[in-house]
Amino acid sequence: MFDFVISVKDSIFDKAESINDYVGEVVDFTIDEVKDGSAKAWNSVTGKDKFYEAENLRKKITRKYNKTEHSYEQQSKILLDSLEQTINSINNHKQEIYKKHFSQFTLLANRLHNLSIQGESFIEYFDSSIYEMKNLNTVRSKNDLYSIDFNNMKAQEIATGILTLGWSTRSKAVETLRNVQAEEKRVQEEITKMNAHITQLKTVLSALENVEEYFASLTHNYEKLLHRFRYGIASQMQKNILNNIALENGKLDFKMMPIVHIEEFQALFNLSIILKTMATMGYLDEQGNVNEEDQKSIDKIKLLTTQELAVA
Amino acid sequence: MSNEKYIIKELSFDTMMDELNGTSPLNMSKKLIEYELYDQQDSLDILNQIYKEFDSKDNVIDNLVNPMLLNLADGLVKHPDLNGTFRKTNITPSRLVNEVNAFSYEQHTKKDIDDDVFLTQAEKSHYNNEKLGIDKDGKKYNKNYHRNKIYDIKPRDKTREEKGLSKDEIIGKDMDHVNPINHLREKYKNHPYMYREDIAKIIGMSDNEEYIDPSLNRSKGDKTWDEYISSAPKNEDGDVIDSNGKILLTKEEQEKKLKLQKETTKAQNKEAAKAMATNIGLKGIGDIIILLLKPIWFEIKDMFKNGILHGFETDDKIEAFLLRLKRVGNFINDNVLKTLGDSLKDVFSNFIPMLISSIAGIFTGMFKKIIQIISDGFMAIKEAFKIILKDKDENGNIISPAQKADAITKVIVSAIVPIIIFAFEETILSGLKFLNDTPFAFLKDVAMIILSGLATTLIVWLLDQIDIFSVKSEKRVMRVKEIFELRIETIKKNTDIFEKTSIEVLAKQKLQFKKIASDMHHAIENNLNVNDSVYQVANFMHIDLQAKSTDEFLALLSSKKPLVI
Repeated sequence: MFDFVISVKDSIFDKAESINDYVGEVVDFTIDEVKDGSAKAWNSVTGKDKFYEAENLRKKITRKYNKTEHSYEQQSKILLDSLEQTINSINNHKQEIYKKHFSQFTLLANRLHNLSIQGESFIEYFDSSIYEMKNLNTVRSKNDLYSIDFNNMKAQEIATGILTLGWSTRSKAVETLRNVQAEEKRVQEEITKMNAHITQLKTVLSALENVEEYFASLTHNYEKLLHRFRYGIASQMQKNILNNIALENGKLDFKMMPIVHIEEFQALFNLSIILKTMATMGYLDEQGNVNEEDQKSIDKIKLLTTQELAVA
Repeated sequence: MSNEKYIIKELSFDTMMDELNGTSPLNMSKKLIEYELYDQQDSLDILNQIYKEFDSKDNVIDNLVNPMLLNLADGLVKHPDLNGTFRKTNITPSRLVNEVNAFSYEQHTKKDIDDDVFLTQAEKSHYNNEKLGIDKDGKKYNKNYHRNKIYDIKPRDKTREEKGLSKDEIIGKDMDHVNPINHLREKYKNHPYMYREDIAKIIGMSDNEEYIDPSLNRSKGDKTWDEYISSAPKNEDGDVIDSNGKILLTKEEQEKKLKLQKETTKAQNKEAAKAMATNIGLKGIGDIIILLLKPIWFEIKDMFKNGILHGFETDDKIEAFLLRLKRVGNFINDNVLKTLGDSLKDVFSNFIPMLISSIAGIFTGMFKKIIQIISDGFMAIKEAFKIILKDKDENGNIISPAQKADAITKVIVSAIVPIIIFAFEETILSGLKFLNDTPFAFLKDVAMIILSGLATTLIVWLLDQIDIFSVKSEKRVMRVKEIFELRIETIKKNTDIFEKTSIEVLAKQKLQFKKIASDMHHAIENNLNVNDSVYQVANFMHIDLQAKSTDEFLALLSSKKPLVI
């Protein structure tokens, strides 16, 4: 019986306690809510809410800008490196054309006709700084953007805030928010510009890679053709020696040559003009447009051709 | 506001395609790097420019000061008393606005005022000097010289004849002017366009003449009945008496005299107005008002546009303001008052300080008549509701709540300020009371129009400066968004066109070259003629080969001349 009483008593206590806890929770909750609500109201009077909105927005755009800038820098570095490599590879081709291919060709060609290739290859210097983006402006500092900083209020600001019933701080907070909103748009432009710049670098790189391929492919074919021509010249020399025909000025008489070799000579001659044009021009710089010297030598050939045609 | 300077040039797909197709594949990289997907304007510079645009004071002039001037001009031109005047001078509200707006101190020439009008003035009152009995050289002279020689010139017999009286009937009586000569001279001494003859005529009006007892006449002297009755000694019954206690004027007679004086004054005012109107018309007045407006307006505009301190070597705003007033004063003095002569000078030199002191009066008065504001301001409140219900402005832009609140405040204020001013008309214009019962009473209305316009603008401008609802920054951020969104869109569009076109052209070229190269390779490997492929390469690369056929090449070889590439 006593036990029962005790247990009833305990259970009553328990209940009471739990009720007490519950009420306590409810009261705490309500107080929090009231606190919360009044804080919200207070914040909207002083403009603190606008300020926090501004601060959050600033953080957001700073994060976004930094992220984009970081990836932009990585991408542009890769692209600029690739551009440099491609330019270097093109430079190698240019040098090889003069040093190797042209010297071989002139050597062979001179067995038939006096021929020389003038000029020298144009070695392009790659200055990555020219292709980097200018005028990039990061998110401005709090000093530049904030008309008021609630985390760092001056006594005078608090005083005016109280005197004007929060109007002064509120309007400054709103202004701060607007400044950051304007900054958001400005930063968006910077981001768009970065993306545009990457796109531009990418296309320039692929244009340059095309050129590199032109070089590779044409020099390869030039070499092969040269090989065929060398064989033709050698066989003709052999034929002359066998037939005991003396060479005039040590040169083969093209009139006695099979047309196929003449055609090879013609192809090599024209390809040389093409390769010379390619080797003497720049691909990123203004300096390279089919330059005057090239044009002059082409014009000379043109003059010769017309003269000879007239004679013939 | 124009977007022109912020606009990025747009790429066109077709143009770019044409350009790239006309470019040698060897020049592609160079060509592509030259394309501008965005301009070189620094985004920070652009932002600063937009901010500056909003700080520019031109907006204030356009939005507030000019409409106010137009209102004012409209009020002036349509004023019933000036209507005919302005019609005569071809002055319309817009012309008035243009003329006044174009004014500057440097450019002003005295031609602006019609001198002829003011030359017609003959009377320069000697009243003040004469009262002292001293002429301008300091010599004493007969105090009543002008009075007797110029004004009191109507023969007494004529008066008697006009009244239809015989000589016998006036024996023992004095002819007396109801309103005495010197009283009338003082009254009209400040009135422009009145000749001495006009004043003499008004003095000698039959209405102004009566026969009275000589002892009463001597007692009355140079006073009006009003002045005389209030100052004369009286017995217990209120009758006016002489030093011996003899009754000069009974109570009943006093009232008759006062009534007579009132009627006479009325008749004289009418006559004076007629005289002035015939002398000059009202032409001169319109010119004067415009000339007055010019420097005042210049200062208002300059203060709004460049700040109070602009053009003065002082940091003290109050001092600068006073200097501005002085400048206006000097201008008016030099250009208006000097030509006017003494009489009109007083009218207008009172006018300006009154305008200025009234502005201060507006602000103190405002707090006193709140209830009237509420009742009279009903129309304004109705206007405000209309704005609340509107979603978009005339240009189709969405109106934000802050902009609405701002517009509502401005509507209410602009409606209420004139109400207050008209409510305070009496107090504000007490400085111009001397104009009552003269043909210049309309100047009070002119002053009211100027004042209410000025006060409205000042209040709305103040509200704009305080920017209670932060509308300015809101409008500014909208402008920033508009410009940057436009720029961003163009950059994106340009990037898109650039990418599409260049990729297409580059891919096409790559494919074209591959085909040529493989044909060439095939020809070389199989001992075929390679020349076709070579010419294709040259065409592809836009290189002009001169030896275009084997025949041409053979001709070249036929010459013994060395070949130079």
